[in-house]
Amino acid sequence: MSMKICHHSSWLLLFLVAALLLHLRPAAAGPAPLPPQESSAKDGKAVVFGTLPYSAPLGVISEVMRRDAILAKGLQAQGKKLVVQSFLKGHDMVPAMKQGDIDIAFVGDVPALMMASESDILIAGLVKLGSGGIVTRAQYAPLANLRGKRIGVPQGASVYFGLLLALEAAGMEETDVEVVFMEPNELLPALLDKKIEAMSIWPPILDAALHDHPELICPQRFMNASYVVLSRSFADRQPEAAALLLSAYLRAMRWMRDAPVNLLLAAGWTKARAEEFQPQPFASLKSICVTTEHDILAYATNPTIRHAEREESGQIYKLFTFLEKKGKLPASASWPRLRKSLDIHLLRGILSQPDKHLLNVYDYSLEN
Amino acid sequence: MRASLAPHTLRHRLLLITAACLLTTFLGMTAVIVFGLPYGLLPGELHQQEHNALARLGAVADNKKTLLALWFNEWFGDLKLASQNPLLAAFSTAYSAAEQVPARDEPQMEQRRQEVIGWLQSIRQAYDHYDHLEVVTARVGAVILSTDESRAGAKMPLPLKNAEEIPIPGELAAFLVSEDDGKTAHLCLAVHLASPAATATPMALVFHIDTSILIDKLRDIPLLGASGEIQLVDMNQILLTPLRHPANGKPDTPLQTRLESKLAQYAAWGNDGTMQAEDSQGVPVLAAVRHIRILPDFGLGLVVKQDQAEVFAPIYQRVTTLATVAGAGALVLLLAIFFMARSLLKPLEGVAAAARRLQGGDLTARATATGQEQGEVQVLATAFNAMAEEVQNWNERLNAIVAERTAELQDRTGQLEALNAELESFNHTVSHDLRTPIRALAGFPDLLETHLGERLDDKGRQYLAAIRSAARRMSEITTGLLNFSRLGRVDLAMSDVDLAVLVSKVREDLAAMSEGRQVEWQVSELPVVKGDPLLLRIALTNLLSNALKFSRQTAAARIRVTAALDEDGAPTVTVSDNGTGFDMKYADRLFKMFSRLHPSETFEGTGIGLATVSRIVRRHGGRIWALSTPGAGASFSFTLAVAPRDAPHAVDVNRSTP
Repeated sequence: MSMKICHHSSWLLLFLVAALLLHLRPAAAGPAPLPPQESSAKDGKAVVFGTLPYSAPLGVISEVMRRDAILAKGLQAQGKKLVVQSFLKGHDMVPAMKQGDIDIAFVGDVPALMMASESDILIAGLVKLGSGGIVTRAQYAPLANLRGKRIGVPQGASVYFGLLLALEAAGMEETDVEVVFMEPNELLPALLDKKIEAMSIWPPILDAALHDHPELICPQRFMNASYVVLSRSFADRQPEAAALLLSAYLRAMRWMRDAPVNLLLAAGWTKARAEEFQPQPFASLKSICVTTEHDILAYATNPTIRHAEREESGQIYKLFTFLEKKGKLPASASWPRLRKSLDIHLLRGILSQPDKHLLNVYDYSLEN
Repeated sequence: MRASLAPHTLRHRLLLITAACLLTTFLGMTAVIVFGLPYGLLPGELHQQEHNALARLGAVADNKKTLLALWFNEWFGDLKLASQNPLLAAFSTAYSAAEQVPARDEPQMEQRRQEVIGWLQSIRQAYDHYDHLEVVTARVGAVILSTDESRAGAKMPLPLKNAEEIPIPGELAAFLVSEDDGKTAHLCLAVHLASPAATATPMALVFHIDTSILIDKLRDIPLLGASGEIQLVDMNQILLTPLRHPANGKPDTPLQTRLESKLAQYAAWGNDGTMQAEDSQGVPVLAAVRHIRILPDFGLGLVVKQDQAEVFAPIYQRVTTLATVAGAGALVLLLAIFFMARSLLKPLEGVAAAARRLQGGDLTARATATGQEQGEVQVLATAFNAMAEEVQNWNERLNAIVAERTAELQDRTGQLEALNAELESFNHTVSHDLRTPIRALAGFPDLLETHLGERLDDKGRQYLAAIRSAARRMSEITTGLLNFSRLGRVDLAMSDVDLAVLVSKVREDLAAMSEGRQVEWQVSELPVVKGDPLLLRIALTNLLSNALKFSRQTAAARIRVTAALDEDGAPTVTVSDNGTGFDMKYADRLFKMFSRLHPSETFEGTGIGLATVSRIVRRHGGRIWALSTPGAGASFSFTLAVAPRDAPHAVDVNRSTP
């Protein structure tokens, strides 16, 4: 399927359809529930959902979920409403989760580890498995040529630690380069203005930069994962609401996998949201679709946390020990604590009852 | 020729400078060629070669990654398609029913089993790359049916699911298992099947793929040279393909070796990139690493590497060739420069040789002018010759003047010497010849006094005393003159003289002069000097007697004898007193013959003593001077050559005066 969707003419056709759909309001099935609102205020009736609209694969799912009428109706039946809180990067969500300002969020692996170190959370499932990378000019490849140069990176993000890993692979330490912390939307302009010599960033900014600026290359990529994270108190006190949100997340993935046009439609919502959030051009629809398909939908069959991830042979433990070695974890971090937060049951329970949780029934008619 | 090759010669310097320039140029060019210019002005070959090699390795790695991803995509496609076959659903239902009532419909169950096995066999034969296909229980991995009949009832080495995990229909899994023979490894791809009932045993369909397929595909590496290698590891760095160049020469057993290298570590963890690192055997390599994530919990790490020695060998070879050619070229150039320099510098060396001869005193030396040299060298040679001609002329003129003046001086010296000899002779003769009449003159007053007896009145006696006194004074003067004259004639008998001993002797000689007087002697430590002991005794006798004489009007006379070293290291002896002293404006007359600064009525004397001292000191190569303040005393100092204190032989200071 991915080969078909990548075909040029197919993309053109799909784009036209998506453009049409963006302008035509989907027919609502039944009474329209209250739309989710951008707010940082939290009351007893609000379920606060932390999202990253400027990160394409994660932003795509949250955009689909915002329009999920089944979710909205379910919450309404429980006397609750969905409140979406947007963040520029996952690192910014760590204190919010600690203060109890958000109940559920999609974040990268490193912010998830940070949250697990400082808050009582559940890491319930895999949202994305993709790769960030270091973008620079050809003259700085291989990476050892960046010694002493300025590298821009969002602070505390997964790509920051991907950068540390890439530097280590090139035989360097963080101190061998000048790390410049910047917001994700500031990176590419700074690189083009030669205020920095390289940037460490995630898709689709990465792919868009490579596509739009042929002088840029990506000499090093590194895998990173993103997870759905719940506050344990939310999961314990409001299990039905938590189940509704997790169902919506699984449903969103299934809906996008069902038809290419769904994915394209979601990509259009994401692009519009990202450009509204940060008024500057975001990645192309094609780039968002490719990234989402590659980083999310390819692993959507079973996004549960595997039992093996709770062992010391798992990838999460490797990341934990790496961050610990680099001194990037808070003093409160420990493997037993992190292991305790890795939940293998919650999502699997929902997956094993698809009919009950309406995993294969779609209604994205919610106006947003 | 030897001189021309000395390190300071122009030719030598020229050769050195040329060699240094050539070496610098060669090293600079080589550095630019190999390392390039900074700021990306010119990429060096090293960078270029590295860049090309990494690009090549990256291309191979990308190719293999794409291949692997496609294979897995294809295999999982096959697996998913197969999992939806109604035969499997029918078998699953029958198996579930048989679980409920084991004895019921056993033939039908067997029929379903055979149908599924037959169908799986057809898949196996159609696709050719599956070793065997089987249906297993999802939790414990027990084989329910298999295309390999011998595996019925066997258990998979690894369970598909942990007991806590609930299998999800359609969920994919992948894992690696070592076969019982210990030589082969299987890549197992599995899909969970939908269960007909909640209570039914969950099943999974598993395709076994012999990893040797991967090995064959991955070993196709024409671009990577002799040292090139592709390594495939799982997410725990377990090696799936044997090493092309195993450390001990034995091929590695699949799944038995953990590849301990940074390359494998980063590939297994999820890095895509290029690296310069050491491989598992510590060999420096260039490598491209790729990570192929098949499933959230299953991925492969791919390392495509080539030894740096092989990658950079063309550069080393090129530099070696360049060095050889450049060295030979430099040698030829140096030889050419040597001969050119020899030809060009020959006239200059002629000028230099003439200059050296001139410097050595040969004023006839001239630079050879062949007439063939042009420009600066000819101008230099001509100017040099003109200068040499001038020097020679001046020298000859000076020599003539010197010869003339020398002759005049010699003539005048001869005259003076003759005159001096005559004077000396006259002085000696007069002094010697006057002694007899003076002696007679001194003796006759006594005879006359005896002869006249009482007839001599007081006036006569007074006259006789005056004659006697005058005669004595004349005798003293003639003795002094005779001694002074002898000083100029006798040869010095040089030996070590202990001045301390000598002063002591002289004080004893002069003891009578201080009788009845209060005289304080202060004699400091005195050195041993080189000199004629008798002459020095005369000199010290004169100086000490003068000191006693001119201090006799002082109630508490104090005479001091000291010695010190002057700036040349010569001993300086000083005799000072607190007597009458003299006016310094007459100091220049002190050491002249018959010169006296005090009337004879006050202080007797001949005026010869200090002149004698001065002559003795001069004959010893020293000098003498005096300082005084009228009424406060005077000091006389003279210098002599020094001699060691522990002189080996004694000095006879008692030798009689001449």
